[in-house]
Amino acid sequence: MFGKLLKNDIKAQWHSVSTIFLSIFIIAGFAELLVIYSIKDVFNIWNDKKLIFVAIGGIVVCLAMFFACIVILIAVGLMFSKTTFGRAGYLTLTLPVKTGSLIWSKIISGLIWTYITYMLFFGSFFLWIYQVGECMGGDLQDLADQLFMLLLGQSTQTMISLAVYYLVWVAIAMFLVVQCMYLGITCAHISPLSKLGPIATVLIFFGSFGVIVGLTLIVGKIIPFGMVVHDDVITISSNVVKAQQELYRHGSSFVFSGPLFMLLSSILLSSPITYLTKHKANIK
Amino acid sequence: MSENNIIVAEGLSKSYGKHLVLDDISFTLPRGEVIGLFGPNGCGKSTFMKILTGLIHDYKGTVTINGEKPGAMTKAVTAYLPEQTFVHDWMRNIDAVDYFNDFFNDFNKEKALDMIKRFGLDPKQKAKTMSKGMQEKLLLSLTMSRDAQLYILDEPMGGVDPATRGQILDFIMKNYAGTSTLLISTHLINDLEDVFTHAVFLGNGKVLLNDSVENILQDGKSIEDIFKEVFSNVW
Repeated sequence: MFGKLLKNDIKAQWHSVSTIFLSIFIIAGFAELLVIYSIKDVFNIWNDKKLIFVAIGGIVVCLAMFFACIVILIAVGLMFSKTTFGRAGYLTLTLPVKTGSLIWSKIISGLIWTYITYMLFFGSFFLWIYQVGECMGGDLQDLADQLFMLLLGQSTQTMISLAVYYLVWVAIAMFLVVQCMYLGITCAHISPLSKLGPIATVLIFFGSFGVIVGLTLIVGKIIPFGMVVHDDVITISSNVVKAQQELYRHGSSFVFSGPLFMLLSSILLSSPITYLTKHKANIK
Repeated sequence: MSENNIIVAEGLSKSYGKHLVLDDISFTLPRGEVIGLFGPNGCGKSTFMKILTGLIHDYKGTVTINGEKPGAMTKAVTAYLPEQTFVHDWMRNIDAVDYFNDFFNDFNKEKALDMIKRFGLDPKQKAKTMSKGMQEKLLLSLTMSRDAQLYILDEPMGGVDPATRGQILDFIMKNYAGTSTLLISTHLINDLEDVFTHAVFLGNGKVLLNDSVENILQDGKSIEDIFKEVFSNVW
């Protein structure tokens, strides 16, 4: 039954996000064409100015994808509200399934669309970096090595570890955003918060998100479990701050406990959402 | 709980802010009957139906269907037709049929498609392009294509013209599983009077009457006459 719920939720959300995707892809597509034509200088009109066009085109593509990330998040929230507490809720909440399954189906389907957009954003960013390198004609590896060492004092290998670490962390943060949004929407359908309408959603969203982010930072400081990367060597440590101070002054440290706490909190937030939907929320 | 009762409510109260809609009511509804739920606007008919179908949770007291509190078990045996359209705008009629077919084991897809055709609806037409009347026909086809133990119909003919009412009523009576219970809320007492076997009057948050139609009509009056008598004293 969960598979059927998920299939139908993905289908419903596709109808909500498809127009957004289409519009964004048209804009990004034209910008990307500008980049490709500039690099190849197909019409032989840009000559030495081609880097400017590559830069502009790339920025437009990245901005379009970034905009898509935000719009998709909002669309996912609206879809949750509509299909759970709107008139479609008359159908959703009278299905013979457990409320927990209903909520998790909406969480997973929402995350699928969020992550697709997120990956497209980062994909477009890395593609742009690659294309700028290609346009400049140099060896991209050399260019990256020089740039990272000059600006950040880190090797490319360390920077890749850093990028992966932050990509995962942003993915977890997006999970938290979706969960806080769902919690806010659910609370806005519970008396007496329902009197505040959408303001309740905004308050609960920022309140819960702020509290969990704050706790994440505290947990990261209290339990500094993670890894230190130095000279392309990864060292796992229960105290990365100490390890970095004592052993690798110039290395980079990555704390795991904070993101893990954030991930756990995001998963656990489904419990109040399910409880409130099952026992407290009303459909108008 | 008696086996003869499908719905049992005990000490049921529900308020919206300071407005008490259901005031500590206790009653039972018999199994296998066509039950009319009557009362003026705002008397709690839809609220009671929403409690039964698990759409409203912040009420006091208890209510059970087949001895179970509203939940996944009761939803599997209850077919609910709300006042509002509930299909997604993007859904075509055929998508709505597939959706019901996915989730309700007692749903008969062929029957639903046949009903849609008989109502003159195009299976490929999208919900957002249909009129309110057409959407009501779709929802009725979906609801009545289930072989449910309990059908809960909230104003099933509220948005249709008088000519279609007879067609819909006929449709409901022909298509509900004979041994099932049919709970219908309506203001159109005249149109439906002949089909009810049991009647419940709700008003001022209380159950003002809960009896078989046979008993109610003993002194030769119609349900509508009784309704007017009861509610002229209340409102």
